Amino acid sequence: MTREQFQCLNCGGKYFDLCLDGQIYFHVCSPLPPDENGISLPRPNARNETNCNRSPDLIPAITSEGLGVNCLTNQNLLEPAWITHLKNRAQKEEQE
Amino acid sequence: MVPEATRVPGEGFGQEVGFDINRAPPPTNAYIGADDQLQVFFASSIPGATAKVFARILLPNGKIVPNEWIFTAINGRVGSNFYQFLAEGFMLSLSVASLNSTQPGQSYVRLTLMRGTQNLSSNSVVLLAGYVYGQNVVSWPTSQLWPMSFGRGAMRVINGTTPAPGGEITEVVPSNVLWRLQTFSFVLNTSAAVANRGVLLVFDNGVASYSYSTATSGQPAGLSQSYTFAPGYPLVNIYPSQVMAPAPTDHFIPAGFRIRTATPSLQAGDQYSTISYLVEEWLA
Repeated sequence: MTREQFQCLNCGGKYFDLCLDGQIYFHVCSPLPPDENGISLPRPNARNETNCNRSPDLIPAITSEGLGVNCLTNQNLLEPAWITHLKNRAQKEEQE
Repeated sequence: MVPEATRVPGEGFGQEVGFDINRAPPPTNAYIGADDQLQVFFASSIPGATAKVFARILLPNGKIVPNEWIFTAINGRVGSNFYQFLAEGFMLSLSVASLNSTQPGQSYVRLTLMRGTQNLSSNSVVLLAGYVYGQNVVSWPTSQLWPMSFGRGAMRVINGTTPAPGGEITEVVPSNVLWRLQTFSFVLNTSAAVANRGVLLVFDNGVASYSYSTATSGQPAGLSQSYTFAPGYPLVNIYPSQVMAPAPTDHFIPAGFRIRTATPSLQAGDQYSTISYLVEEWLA
């Protein structure tokens, strides 16, 4: 499986969709920089690729898309391939 | 002497042995009714992981039938339930092996004898549960029921997100996982803007911070320094570019918790990079 690099359109962070051991990497946006009082607020429209469906009888889904991502290494990818795969599975199950 | 009518040949070796099936006690307490089935729960952090389930079932006619099924983890760490109908009879043994997991903490299997497809209903009995990897096979009735967080986990090196310039590092423990942090390292390149940046490694539960580890008194402008936080490390600044710093010992971090930096006086042109950490991971 090829590792692809993505840039988050919200926080600007760059990450690979797979770790070097072949397992999925789950990007989550960092909070906003701390204000003058040192308080760090959550970033609006944060992307969170961790799973929000925790039942073994449901298809996993990412928690929030945020503003999306841009693939830096493959123009044909709109998002990490594993997320597209999950969405396709969910769509197929809905149709059935 | 077993009556001729009840002598049932076995298979392969020992086929001359017969059973008095009318008078013999049940060989196990796992009787499979006509409506019972085997629920196979399989979760794995390995994409496309597969597990092989072997079962030996004693049929009412005395014949021992071997079965073999292969299941693929389709929901990753969340796990999936598969349902396998069985022939009526007595379950004699079950065993599960992994075809592609190499470490504990990666692929977890739980086999449940149940009626219907409700998840762990009152009509169910868990026969086998544990991690399968390499040569490590779990079996029933000989293995214990191992919980997901038992024993040694999988050792994983993870490369984190490189934040935008002026941004902090934030790594989140993924869903359905328990981590024990071993090391956390990164590089900070400071811009020419004059200020002393103090690097803190912060742990929080997504809302409230509960641990702060300090690295140094401050990193000045125009410098690249490599930081490694680990349990048991002393606080050492190895001039000019290496910093070792302590992190909480034996620190278990559940899903949703965050490991992040907090850097007083971080400037817009400062850049964190090369984020890499070692964790021991269990499914949860």
